[in-house]
Amino acid sequence: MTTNTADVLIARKGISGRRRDPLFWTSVGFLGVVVLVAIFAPFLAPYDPEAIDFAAIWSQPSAAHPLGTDQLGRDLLSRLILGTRESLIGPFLLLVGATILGVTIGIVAAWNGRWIDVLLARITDVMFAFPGLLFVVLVIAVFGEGAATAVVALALAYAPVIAKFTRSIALSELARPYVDAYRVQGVGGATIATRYVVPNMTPALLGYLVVLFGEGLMGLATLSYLGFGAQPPSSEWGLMVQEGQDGIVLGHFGPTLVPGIAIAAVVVAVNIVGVRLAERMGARA
Amino acid sequence: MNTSATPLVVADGLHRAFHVARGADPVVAVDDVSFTIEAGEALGLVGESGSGKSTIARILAGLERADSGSLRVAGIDRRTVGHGAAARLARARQVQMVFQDPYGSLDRRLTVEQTLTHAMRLHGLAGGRDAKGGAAELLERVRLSATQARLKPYQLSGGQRQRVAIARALAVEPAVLVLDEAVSALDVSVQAQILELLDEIRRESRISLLFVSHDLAVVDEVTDRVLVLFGGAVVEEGRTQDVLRKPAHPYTRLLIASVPGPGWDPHDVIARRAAFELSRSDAST
Repeated sequence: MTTNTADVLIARKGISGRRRDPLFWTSVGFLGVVVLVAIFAPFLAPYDPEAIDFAAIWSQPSAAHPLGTDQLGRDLLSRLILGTRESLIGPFLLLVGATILGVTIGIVAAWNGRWIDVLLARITDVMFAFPGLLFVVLVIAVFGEGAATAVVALALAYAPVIAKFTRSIALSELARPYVDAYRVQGVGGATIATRYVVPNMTPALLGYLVVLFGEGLMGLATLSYLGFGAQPPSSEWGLMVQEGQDGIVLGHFGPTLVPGIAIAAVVVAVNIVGVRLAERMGARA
Repeated sequence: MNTSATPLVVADGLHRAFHVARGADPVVAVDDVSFTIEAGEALGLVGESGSGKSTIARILAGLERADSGSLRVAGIDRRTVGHGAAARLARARQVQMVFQDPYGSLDRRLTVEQTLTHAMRLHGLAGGRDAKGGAAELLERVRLSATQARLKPYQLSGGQRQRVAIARALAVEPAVLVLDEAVSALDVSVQAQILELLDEIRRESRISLLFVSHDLAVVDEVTDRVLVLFGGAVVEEGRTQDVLRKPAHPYTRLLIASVPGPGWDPHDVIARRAAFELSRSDAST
Protein backbone atom coordinates (compact mmCIF):
# COMPACT_ATOMS: atom_id res chain seq x y z
CA MET A 1 0.00 0.00 0.00
CA THR A 2 2.64 2.47 1.12
CA THR A 3 5.03 1.52 -1.66
CA ASN A 4 2.23 1.91 -4.18
CA THR A 5 1.62 5.50 -3.13
CA ALA A 6 5.32 6.22 -3.18
CA ASP A 7 5.64 4.76 -6.67
CA VAL A 8 2.81 6.90 -7.90
CA LEU A 9 4.38 10.00 -6.38
CA ILE A 10 7.76 9.22 -7.94
CA ALA A 11 6.18 8.56 -11.32
CA ARG A 12 4.27 11.83 -11.07
CA LYS A 13 7.39 13.76 -10.24
CA GLY A 14 8.96 12.25 -13.33
CA ILE A 15 6.21 13.75 -15.48
CA SER A 16 5.68 17.16 -13.94
CA GLY A 17 8.73 17.66 -11.74
CA ARG A 18 10.77 20.75 -12.37
CA ARG A 19 14.00 19.07 -13.47
CA ARG A 20 12.87 15.97 -15.31
CA ASP A 21 10.82 17.46 -18.08
CA PRO A 22 13.02 17.57 -21.17
CA LEU A 23 10.06 18.18 -23.50
CA PHE A 24 9.03 21.30 -21.58
CA TRP A 25 12.55 22.69 -21.39
CA THR A 26 13.29 21.88 -25.04
CA SER A 27 10.16 23.80 -26.02
CA VAL A 28 11.09 26.72 -23.78
CA GLY A 29 14.60 26.73 -25.30
CA PHE A 30 13.26 26.55 -28.84
CA LEU A 31 10.87 29.45 -28.22
CA GLY A 32 13.71 31.41 -26.64
CA VAL A 33 15.77 30.96 -29.80
CA VAL A 34 12.81 32.01 -31.95
CA VAL A 35 12.39 35.19 -29.90
CA LEU A 36 16.12 35.94 -30.20
CA VAL A 37 15.89 35.43 -33.96
CA ALA A 38 12.99 37.88 -34.09
CA ILE A 39 14.95 40.48 -32.10
CA PHE A 40 18.16 40.20 -34.13
CA ALA A 41 16.48 39.36 -37.46
CA PRO A 42 18.12 42.10 -39.58
CA PHE A 43 21.59 40.99 -38.47
CA LEU A 44 20.94 37.29 -38.99
CA ALA A 45 19.30 37.41 -42.44
CA PRO A 46 21.90 36.80 -45.18
CA TYR A 47 19.86 38.68 -47.83
CA ASP A 48 17.33 41.48 -48.06
CA PRO A 49 14.07 39.49 -47.72
CA GLU A 50 12.43 41.56 -50.42
CA ALA A 51 15.31 41.47 -52.93
CA ILE A 52 14.05 39.92 -56.13
CA ASP A 53 16.53 37.81 -58.12
CA PHE A 54 15.14 36.48 -61.43
CA ALA A 55 18.33 34.49 -61.97
CA ALA A 56 17.53 32.31 -58.92
CA ILE A 57 13.79 31.59 -59.15
CA TRP A 58 12.72 28.45 -57.24
CA SER A 59 16.31 27.42 -56.65
CA GLN A 60 16.99 24.34 -54.56
CA PRO A 61 18.73 24.65 -51.18
CA SER A 62 22.39 25.42 -51.76
CA ALA A 63 25.32 27.11 -50.05
CA ALA A 64 24.14 30.48 -51.41
CA HIS A 65 20.50 29.89 -50.38
CA PRO A 66 20.37 27.34 -47.49
CA LEU A 67 16.58 26.97 -47.75
CA GLY A 68 16.25 27.80 -51.45
CA THR A 69 14.31 30.68 -53.01
CA ASP A 70 10.68 31.44 -53.92
CA GLN A 71 8.90 32.30 -57.19
CA LEU A 72 10.58 35.73 -57.27
CA GLY A 73 14.02 34.42 -56.39
CA ARG A 74 13.81 35.84 -52.84
CA ASP A 75 15.94 34.03 -50.23
CA LEU A 76 13.62 31.83 -48.12
CA LEU A 77 15.88 31.79 -45.05
CA SER A 78 15.99 35.59 -44.95
CA ARG A 79 12.22 35.81 -45.44
CA LEU A 80 11.64 33.23 -42.69
CA ILE A 81 13.94 35.11 -40.27
CA LEU A 82 12.41 38.52 -40.92
CA GLY A 83 8.91 37.00 -40.92
CA THR A 84 9.46 35.85 -37.33
CA ARG A 85 8.90 39.43 -36.19
CA GLU A 86 5.49 39.99 -37.69
CA SER A 87 4.42 36.41 -37.02
CA LEU A 88 5.16 36.77 -33.27
CA ILE A 89 4.28 40.41 -32.62
CA GLY A 90 0.80 39.96 -34.15
CA PRO A 91 -0.36 37.20 -31.78
CA PHE A 92 1.37 38.93 -28.86
CA LEU A 93 -0.53 42.19 -29.39
CA LEU A 94 -3.72 40.28 -30.02
CA LEU A 95 -3.28 38.38 -26.77
CA VAL A 96 -2.49 41.50 -24.73
CA GLY A 97 -5.60 43.25 -26.07
CA ALA A 98 -7.87 40.24 -25.64
CA THR A 99 -6.50 39.58 -22.13
CA ILE A 100 -7.03 43.13 -20.87
CA LEU A 101 -10.55 43.18 -22.26
CA GLY A 102 -11.44 39.60 -21.30
CA VAL A 103 -10.03 39.62 -17.77
CA THR A 104 -11.74 42.93 -17.01
CA ILE A 105 -15.12 41.71 -18.25
CA GLY A 106 -14.70 38.32 -16.58
CA ILE A 107 -13.85 39.67 -13.16
CA VAL A 108 -16.57 42.32 -13.26
CA ALA A 109 -19.09 39.62 -14.23
CA ALA A 110 -17.93 37.39 -11.38
CA TRP A 111 -17.92 40.24 -8.88
CA ASN A 112 -21.25 41.88 -9.46
CA GLY A 113 -23.21 39.10 -11.19
CA ARG A 114 -26.51 40.52 -12.39
CA TRP A 115 -26.81 42.09 -15.85
CA ILE A 116 -23.11 42.14 -16.82
CA ASP A 117 -22.96 38.43 -16.10
CA VAL A 118 -26.06 37.76 -18.18
CA LEU A 119 -24.74 39.90 -21.04
CA LEU A 120 -21.40 38.08 -20.98
CA ALA A 121 -23.12 34.71 -21.03
CA ARG A 122 -25.19 35.74 -24.08
CA ILE A 123 -22.19 37.15 -25.96
CA THR A 124 -20.11 34.03 -25.35
CA ASP A 125 -23.05 31.83 -26.38
CA VAL A 126 -23.24 33.69 -29.67
CA MET A 127 -19.47 33.51 -30.15
CA PHE A 128 -19.42 29.78 -29.50
CA ALA A 129 -22.34 29.15 -31.84
CA PHE A 130 -20.75 31.22 -34.59
CA PRO A 131 -17.58 30.06 -36.39
CA GLY A 132 -14.80 32.29 -35.07
CA LEU A 133 -13.31 32.90 -38.49
CA LEU A 134 -16.66 34.07 -39.84
CA PHE A 135 -16.87 36.73 -37.14
CA VAL A 136 -13.34 37.86 -37.91
CA VAL A 137 -14.03 38.05 -41.66
CA LEU A 138 -17.11 40.11 -40.81
CA VAL A 139 -15.04 42.60 -38.81
CA ILE A 140 -12.50 42.77 -41.63
CA ALA A 141 -15.28 43.32 -44.16
CA VAL A 142 -16.40 46.33 -42.15
CA PHE A 143 -13.00 47.84 -41.28
CA GLY A 144 -10.93 46.78 -44.29
CA GLU A 145 -8.18 44.20 -44.56
CA GLY A 146 -4.67 44.51 -43.17
CA ALA A 147 -2.50 43.17 -40.38
CA ALA A 148 -3.80 45.65 -37.77
CA THR A 149 -7.46 44.89 -38.49
CA ALA A 150 -6.77 41.18 -38.33
CA VAL A 151 -5.21 41.59 -34.88
CA VAL A 152 -8.10 43.70 -33.61
CA ALA A 153 -10.69 41.32 -35.09
CA LEU A 154 -9.12 38.25 -33.50
CA ALA A 155 -8.67 40.09 -30.18
CA LEU A 156 -12.41 40.83 -30.19
CA ALA A 157 -13.12 37.18 -30.97
CA TYR A 158 -10.90 35.90 -28.14
CA ALA A 159 -11.95 38.40 -25.46
CA PRO A 160 -15.26 36.66 -24.59
CA VAL A 161 -13.52 33.27 -24.40
CA ILE A 162 -10.94 34.68 -21.99
CA ALA A 163 -13.72 36.48 -20.11
CA LYS A 164 -15.63 33.25 -19.60
CA PHE A 165 -12.54 31.42 -18.36
CA THR A 166 -11.58 34.32 -16.08
CA ARG A 167 -15.10 34.44 -14.68
CA SER A 168 -15.00 30.78 -13.67
CA ILE A 169 -11.65 31.20 -11.88
CA ALA A 170 -12.67 34.54 -10.36
CA LEU A 171 -15.84 33.02 -8.89
CA SER A 172 -13.84 30.54 -6.81
CA GLU A 173 -11.16 33.12 -6.03
CA LEU A 174 -13.70 35.69 -4.79
CA ALA A 175 -15.24 33.06 -2.52
CA ARG A 176 -11.98 32.80 -0.57
CA PRO A 177 -12.17 34.50 2.81
CA TYR A 178 -9.09 36.66 2.19
CA VAL A 179 -11.27 38.76 -0.13
CA ASP A 180 -13.69 39.32 2.76
CA ALA A 181 -10.72 40.13 4.96
CA TYR A 182 -9.70 42.93 2.57
CA ARG A 183 -13.27 44.21 2.55
CA VAL A 184 -13.33 44.29 6.35
CA GLN A 185 -10.06 46.21 6.23
CA GLY A 186 -11.82 48.85 4.15
CA VAL A 187 -10.09 48.17 0.82
CA GLY A 188 -12.25 49.26 -2.14
CA GLY A 189 -13.68 46.71 -4.57
CA ALA A 190 -11.64 47.86 -7.59
CA THR A 191 -8.41 47.76 -5.57
CA ILE A 192 -9.15 44.28 -4.21
CA ALA A 193 -9.80 43.05 -7.76
CA THR A 194 -6.80 44.60 -9.51
CA ARG A 195 -4.20 44.53 -6.78
CA TYR A 196 -4.97 41.29 -4.99
CA VAL A 197 -7.39 39.00 -6.84
CA VAL A 198 -5.95 39.28 -10.36
CA PRO A 199 -2.37 38.51 -9.23
CA ASN A 200 -3.71 35.52 -7.29
CA MET A 201 -5.45 34.26 -10.44
CA THR A 202 -2.41 34.71 -12.68
CA PRO A 203 -0.99 31.21 -12.14
CA ALA A 204 -4.30 29.65 -13.21
CA LEU A 205 -4.64 32.00 -16.20
CA LEU A 206 -1.06 31.86 -17.46
CA GLY A 207 -1.01 28.40 -19.04
CA TYR A 208 -4.33 29.04 -20.73
CA LEU A 209 -3.12 32.33 -22.20
CA VAL A 210 0.08 30.73 -23.50
CA VAL A 211 -1.98 28.11 -25.34
CA LEU A 212 -4.15 30.92 -26.73
CA PHE A 213 -0.99 32.60 -28.05
CA GLY A 214 -0.39 29.55 -30.26
CA GLU A 215 -3.99 29.65 -31.40
CA GLY A 216 -3.68 33.35 -32.17
CA LEU A 217 -0.54 32.78 -34.19
CA MET A 218 -2.35 30.16 -36.25
CA GLY A 219 -5.43 32.37 -36.60
CA LEU A 220 -3.41 35.32 -37.88
CA ALA A 221 -1.46 33.08 -40.27
CA THR A 222 -4.79 31.75 -41.58
CA LEU A 223 -6.09 35.27 -42.16
CA SER A 224 -2.90 36.25 -43.99
CA TYR A 225 -3.14 33.09 -46.06
CA LEU A 226 -6.68 34.06 -47.03
CA GLY A 227 -5.46 37.55 -47.95
CA PHE A 228 -7.15 39.37 -45.04
CA GLY A 229 -4.11 39.87 -42.83
CA ALA A 230 -0.56 40.83 -43.69
CA GLN A 231 -0.15 42.16 -47.23
CA PRO A 232 2.75 41.66 -49.70
CA PRO A 233 5.65 42.23 -49.72
CA SER A 234 5.55 41.21 -46.02
CA SER A 235 7.15 37.87 -45.18
CA GLU A 236 4.59 36.98 -42.50
CA TRP A 237 4.55 33.17 -42.44
CA GLY A 238 0.90 32.69 -43.41
CA LEU A 239 1.36 35.00 -46.37
CA MET A 240 4.54 33.12 -47.35
CA VAL A 241 2.58 29.85 -47.46
CA GLN A 242 -0.03 31.45 -49.69
CA GLU A 243 2.52 32.99 -52.07
CA GLY A 244 4.51 29.79 -52.23
CA GLN A 245 1.63 27.52 -53.20
CA ASP A 246 1.90 28.38 -56.90
CA GLY A 247 5.13 26.37 -56.93
CA ILE A 248 3.50 23.16 -55.62
CA VAL A 249 2.09 22.10 -59.02
CA LEU A 250 5.57 22.59 -60.48
CA GLY A 251 7.13 20.44 -57.76
CA HIS A 252 8.64 23.27 -55.70
CA PHE A 253 7.54 22.50 -52.14
CA GLY A 254 10.13 24.62 -50.32
CA PRO A 255 8.33 27.98 -50.38
CA THR A 256 5.24 26.47 -48.66
CA LEU A 257 6.95 23.89 -46.49
CA VAL A 258 9.50 26.24 -44.89
CA PRO A 259 6.99 28.72 -43.38
CA GLY A 260 4.47 25.91 -42.78
CA ILE A 261 6.93 23.95 -40.67
CA ALA A 262 7.91 27.13 -38.82
CA ILE A 263 4.26 27.80 -37.91
CA ALA A 264 3.70 24.20 -36.83
CA ALA A 265 6.90 24.06 -34.76
CA VAL A 266 6.19 27.29 -32.87
CA VAL A 267 2.54 26.38 -32.23
CA VAL A 268 3.44 22.90 -30.94
CA ALA A 269 6.17 24.32 -28.67
CA VAL A 270 3.81 26.99 -27.34
CA ASN A 271 1.14 24.38 -26.65
CA ILE A 272 3.56 22.14 -24.77
CA VAL A 273 4.72 25.06 -22.64
CA GLY A 274 1.15 26.25 -22.02
CA VAL A 275 -0.24 22.87 -21.04
CA ARG A 276 2.71 22.10 -18.77
CA LEU A 277 2.44 25.52 -17.11
CA ALA A 278 -1.25 24.96 -16.48
CA GLU A 279 -0.48 21.54 -14.96
CA ARG A 280 2.22 22.89 -12.68
CA MET A 281 0.21 25.84 -11.50
CA GLY A 282 -2.76 23.56 -10.92
CA ALA A 283 -0.60 21.26 -8.82
CA ARG A 284 0.71 24.17 -6.79
CA ALA A 285 -2.62 25.83 -6.05
CA MET B 1 -15.77 59.36 24.43
CA ASN B 2 -17.56 56.38 25.81
CA THR B 3 -20.01 57.28 28.49
CA SER B 4 -21.19 54.67 30.92
CA ALA B 5 -24.75 55.15 29.70
CA THR B 6 -24.44 53.77 26.14
CA PRO B 7 -22.65 50.53 25.36
CA LEU B 8 -20.04 50.46 22.56
CA VAL B 9 -22.16 48.29 20.28
CA VAL B 10 -25.94 48.57 20.21
CA ALA B 11 -27.85 46.28 17.85
CA ASP B 12 -31.58 46.71 17.82
CA GLY B 13 -34.07 44.50 15.98
CA LEU B 14 -31.66 43.19 13.32
CA HIS B 15 -33.38 41.24 10.59
CA ARG B 16 -31.90 39.51 7.54
CA ALA B 17 -33.51 37.15 5.04
CA PHE B 18 -31.88 35.48 2.05
CA HIS B 19 -33.62 34.83 -1.25
CA VAL B 20 -32.36 31.38 -2.05
CA ALA B 21 -34.37 30.60 -5.16
CA ARG B 22 -36.79 32.49 -7.35
CA GLY B 23 -40.36 31.91 -6.24
CA ALA B 24 -39.31 30.21 -3.01
CA ASP B 25 -39.94 31.85 0.37
CA PRO B 26 -36.90 33.77 1.64
CA VAL B 27 -34.93 32.02 4.37
CA VAL B 28 -34.84 34.10 7.54
CA ALA B 29 -31.28 33.98 8.86
CA VAL B 30 -31.57 36.67 11.53
CA ASP B 31 -34.91 37.40 13.13
CA ASP B 32 -35.30 40.48 15.36
CA VAL B 33 -31.98 40.15 17.15
CA SER B 34 -30.97 42.83 19.66
CA PHE B 35 -27.85 42.92 21.78
CA THR B 36 -25.26 45.23 23.27
CA ILE B 37 -21.54 44.93 23.84
CA GLU B 38 -19.81 47.13 26.41
CA ALA B 39 -16.30 48.41 25.81
CA GLY B 40 -13.92 45.64 26.86
CA GLU B 41 -16.66 43.06 27.07
CA ALA B 42 -16.72 39.68 25.30
CA LEU B 43 -20.09 38.57 23.99
CA GLY B 44 -20.58 35.01 22.78
CA LEU B 45 -22.97 33.84 20.09
CA VAL B 46 -23.84 30.17 20.25
CA GLY B 47 -26.22 27.99 18.32
CA GLU B 48 -26.21 25.20 15.79
CA SER B 49 -25.35 25.55 12.08
CA GLY B 50 -27.89 27.78 10.39
CA SER B 51 -28.86 29.53 13.62
CA GLY B 52 -27.77 32.87 12.15
CA LYS B 53 -24.72 33.48 14.32
CA SER B 54 -22.30 33.90 11.41
CA THR B 55 -24.71 36.26 9.63
CA ILE B 56 -24.86 38.47 12.72
CA ALA B 57 -21.05 38.49 12.84
CA ARG B 58 -20.87 39.44 9.15
CA ILE B 59 -23.45 42.21 9.61
CA LEU B 60 -21.38 43.68 12.43
CA ALA B 61 -18.22 43.44 10.29
CA GLY B 62 -20.01 45.16 7.39
CA LEU B 63 -19.83 42.17 5.04
CA GLU B 64 -23.57 41.70 5.08
CA ARG B 65 -26.32 44.27 5.40
CA ALA B 66 -29.33 44.00 7.65
CA ASP B 67 -32.74 44.29 5.99
CA SER B 68 -34.01 46.24 8.97
CA GLY B 69 -33.05 47.19 12.48
CA SER B 70 -30.26 49.45 13.62
CA LEU B 71 -26.65 48.84 14.49
CA ARG B 72 -24.59 51.48 16.25
CA VAL B 73 -20.91 51.27 17.11
CA ALA B 74 -19.65 54.09 19.37
CA GLY B 75 -22.86 55.97 18.64
CA ILE B 76 -22.44 55.88 14.85
CA ASP B 77 -25.04 54.05 12.78
CA ARG B 78 -23.23 51.48 10.59
CA ARG B 79 -26.02 51.61 8.05
CA THR B 80 -25.88 55.31 7.30
CA VAL B 81 -22.11 55.73 6.99
CA GLY B 82 -21.29 57.09 3.53
CA HIS B 83 -19.78 55.24 0.59
CA GLY B 84 -16.44 56.93 0.00
CA ALA B 85 -13.00 55.59 0.89
CA ALA B 86 -12.76 57.67 4.07
CA ALA B 87 -16.08 56.32 5.37
CA ARG B 88 -15.02 52.79 4.48
CA LEU B 89 -11.78 53.14 6.43
CA ALA B 90 -13.53 54.73 9.39
CA ARG B 91 -15.95 51.79 9.47
CA ALA B 92 -13.03 49.35 9.27
CA ARG B 93 -11.33 50.97 12.28
CA GLN B 94 -14.46 50.31 14.36
CA VAL B 95 -14.76 46.60 13.68
CA GLN B 96 -12.27 43.98 12.49
CA MET B 97 -12.82 40.29 11.95
CA VAL B 98 -10.97 36.98 12.19
CA PHE B 99 -12.35 34.22 9.98
CA GLN B 100 -12.77 30.51 10.51
CA ASP B 101 -10.54 29.20 7.73
CA PRO B 102 -6.89 29.97 8.54
CA TYR B 103 -5.87 28.59 5.13
CA GLY B 104 -8.04 30.86 3.01
CA SER B 105 -8.24 34.05 5.01
CA LEU B 106 -4.67 35.19 4.31
CA ASP B 107 -3.55 36.40 0.88
CA ARG B 108 -1.26 33.55 -0.21
CA ARG B 109 0.95 35.87 -2.29
CA LEU B 110 1.95 38.13 0.59
CA THR B 111 4.45 37.47 3.36
CA VAL B 112 3.33 37.88 6.96
CA GLU B 113 5.08 41.24 7.14
CA GLN B 114 3.51 42.48 3.89
CA THR B 115 0.06 41.44 5.11
CA LEU B 116 0.51 43.59 8.21
CA THR B 117 2.21 46.58 6.58
CA HIS B 118 -0.45 46.73 3.84
CA ALA B 119 -3.15 46.99 6.52
CA MET B 120 -1.26 49.65 8.50
CA ARG B 121 -0.42 51.77 5.45
CA LEU B 122 -4.00 51.60 4.23
CA HIS B 123 -5.10 53.23 7.46
CA GLY B 124 -2.16 55.62 7.63
CA LEU B 125 -1.16 54.06 10.94
CA ALA B 126 2.47 53.68 9.94
CA GLY B 127 4.26 56.04 7.59
CA GLY B 128 6.41 54.02 5.16
CA ARG B 129 9.63 53.75 7.14
CA ASP B 130 8.31 52.51 10.48
CA ALA B 131 5.64 50.21 9.05
CA LYS B 132 8.10 47.34 9.44
CA GLY B 133 8.65 48.28 13.06
CA GLY B 134 4.89 48.32 13.56
CA ALA B 135 4.62 44.89 11.98
CA ALA B 136 7.34 43.56 14.30
CA GLU B 137 5.44 44.94 17.30
CA LEU B 138 2.22 43.28 16.15
CA LEU B 139 4.01 39.97 15.62
CA GLU B 140 5.38 40.20 19.14
CA ARG B 141 1.88 40.80 20.46
CA VAL B 142 0.63 37.59 18.82
CA ARG B 143 3.82 35.68 19.82
CA LEU B 144 5.30 35.19 16.38
CA SER B 145 9.03 35.54 15.78
CA ALA B 146 10.72 38.08 13.52
CA THR B 147 11.95 35.27 11.24
CA GLN B 148 8.35 34.26 10.59
CA ALA B 149 7.67 37.76 9.24
CA ARG B 150 9.28 36.83 5.95
CA LEU B 151 7.29 33.62 5.49
CA LYS B 152 4.26 33.13 3.27
CA PRO B 153 1.03 31.56 4.54
CA TYR B 154 1.78 28.11 3.08
CA GLN B 155 4.92 27.93 5.22
CA LEU B 156 2.92 28.43 8.45
CA SER B 157 0.80 26.07 10.56
CA GLY B 158 -2.91 26.65 11.09
CA GLY B 159 -2.34 28.16 14.52
CA GLN B 160 0.39 30.47 13.24
CA ARG B 161 -1.84 31.63 10.41
CA GLN B 162 -4.63 32.42 12.82
CA ARG B 163 -2.13 34.48 14.87
CA VAL B 164 -1.28 36.40 11.69
CA ALA B 165 -5.00 36.94 11.04
CA ILE B 166 -5.41 38.29 14.58
CA ALA B 167 -2.37 40.55 14.13
CA ARG B 168 -3.80 41.83 10.85
CA ALA B 169 -7.07 42.67 12.60
CA LEU B 170 -5.23 44.42 15.45
CA ALA B 171 -3.11 46.38 12.94
CA VAL B 172 -6.12 48.59 12.29
CA GLU B 173 -6.58 49.20 16.06
CA PRO B 174 -10.30 48.39 16.07
CA ALA B 175 -12.74 48.94 18.92
CA VAL B 176 -14.47 45.62 18.30
CA LEU B 177 -12.98 42.31 17.17
CA VAL B 178 -15.34 39.78 15.61
CA LEU B 179 -14.16 36.17 15.77
CA ASP B 180 -16.26 33.89 13.57
CA GLU B 181 -15.44 30.31 14.62
CA ALA B 182 -11.85 31.55 14.78
CA VAL B 183 -10.52 28.56 16.73
CA SER B 184 -12.87 25.90 15.36
CA ALA B 185 -10.48 24.71 12.64
CA LEU B 186 -7.58 24.32 15.09
CA ASP B 187 -6.70 21.30 17.16
CA VAL B 188 -7.26 21.45 20.90
CA SER B 189 -3.76 22.41 22.09
CA VAL B 190 -3.40 25.13 19.46
CA GLN B 191 -6.92 26.29 20.36
CA ALA B 192 -5.81 26.76 23.97
CA GLN B 193 -2.83 28.87 22.87
CA ILE B 194 -5.01 31.13 20.73
CA LEU B 195 -7.55 31.51 23.54
CA GLU B 196 -4.76 32.50 25.90
CA LEU B 197 -3.56 35.02 23.34
CA LEU B 198 -7.06 36.54 23.09
CA ASP B 199 -7.15 36.75 26.87
CA GLU B 200 -3.83 38.63 26.88
CA ILE B 201 -5.01 41.01 24.17
CA ARG B 202 -8.12 41.80 26.19
CA ARG B 203 -6.05 42.53 29.27
CA GLU B 204 -3.72 44.85 27.31
CA SER B 205 -6.43 46.86 25.56
CA ARG B 206 -10.11 47.49 26.19
CA ILE B 207 -11.09 45.79 22.95
CA SER B 208 -14.58 44.29 22.74
CA LEU B 209 -15.11 40.82 21.33
CA LEU B 210 -17.98 39.23 19.49
CA PHE B 211 -17.11 35.57 19.75
CA VAL B 212 -19.04 33.22 17.50
CA SER B 213 -18.66 29.50 18.13
CA HIS B 214 -20.53 26.25 18.23
CA ASP B 215 -18.11 25.03 20.90
CA LEU B 216 -19.66 25.73 24.31
CA ALA B 217 -16.50 24.97 26.29
CA VAL B 218 -14.57 27.57 24.30
CA VAL B 219 -17.36 30.13 24.67
CA ASP B 220 -17.37 29.47 28.42
CA GLU B 221 -13.63 30.16 28.49
CA VAL B 222 -13.66 33.40 26.48
CA THR B 223 -16.92 35.30 26.96
CA ASP B 224 -18.59 37.30 29.71
CA ARG B 225 -22.10 37.13 28.33
CA VAL B 226 -23.71 34.88 25.75
CA LEU B 227 -26.65 34.87 23.35
CA VAL B 228 -28.18 31.53 22.42
CA LEU B 229 -29.61 31.56 18.91
CA PHE B 230 -32.12 29.23 17.37
CA GLY B 231 -33.55 29.70 13.89
CA GLY B 232 -32.16 33.24 13.71
CA ALA B 233 -33.76 34.39 16.96
CA VAL B 234 -32.35 34.83 20.45
CA VAL B 235 -33.86 32.19 22.76
CA GLU B 236 -31.78 32.93 25.83
CA GLU B 237 -29.20 35.44 26.96
CA GLY B 238 -27.28 36.21 30.10
CA ARG B 239 -23.99 35.84 31.87
CA THR B 240 -22.11 32.95 30.25
CA GLN B 241 -21.64 31.13 33.56
CA ASP B 242 -25.34 31.30 34.38
CA VAL B 243 -26.55 30.30 30.93
CA LEU B 244 -24.22 27.33 30.60
CA ARG B 245 -24.56 26.12 34.23
CA LYS B 246 -28.27 26.84 34.70
CA PRO B 247 -29.88 26.96 31.24
CA ALA B 248 -33.44 28.25 31.33
CA HIS B 249 -34.54 27.53 27.77
CA PRO B 250 -35.09 23.95 26.54
CA TYR B 251 -33.00 24.63 23.41
CA THR B 252 -30.02 25.72 25.52
CA ARG B 253 -30.38 22.56 27.56
CA LEU B 254 -30.48 20.54 24.36
CA LEU B 255 -27.37 22.32 23.07
CA ILE B 256 -25.50 21.53 26.29
CA ALA B 257 -26.69 17.92 26.22
CA SER B 258 -25.40 17.61 22.62
CA VAL B 259 -21.80 18.09 23.69
CA PRO B 260 -20.07 14.70 23.61
CA GLY B 261 -18.88 13.52 27.01
CA PRO B 262 -19.01 10.51 29.33
CA GLY B 263 -22.29 8.63 29.01
CA TRP B 264 -23.14 10.60 25.89
CA ASP B 265 -25.47 8.87 23.43
CA PRO B 266 -25.94 10.33 19.91
CA HIS B 267 -29.33 8.60 19.55
CA ASP B 268 -30.53 10.29 22.69
CA VAL B 269 -29.43 13.69 21.37
CA ILE B 270 -31.18 13.13 18.04
CA ALA B 271 -34.37 12.02 19.80
CA ARG B 272 -34.34 15.05 22.11
CA ARG B 273 -33.73 17.31 19.11
CA ALA B 274 -36.79 15.86 17.35
CA ALA B 275 -38.91 16.25 20.48
CA PHE B 276 -37.79 19.88 20.74
CA GLU B 277 -38.73 20.60 17.11
CA LEU B 278 -42.13 19.03 17.73
CA SER B 279 -42.80 21.10 20.85
CA ARG B 280 -41.91 24.27 18.94
CA SER B 281 -44.25 23.53 16.04
CA ASP B 282 -47.03 22.76 18.55
CA ALA B 283 -46.44 26.07 20.27
CA SER B 284 -46.52 28.08 17.05
CA THR B 285 -49.75 26.54 15.71
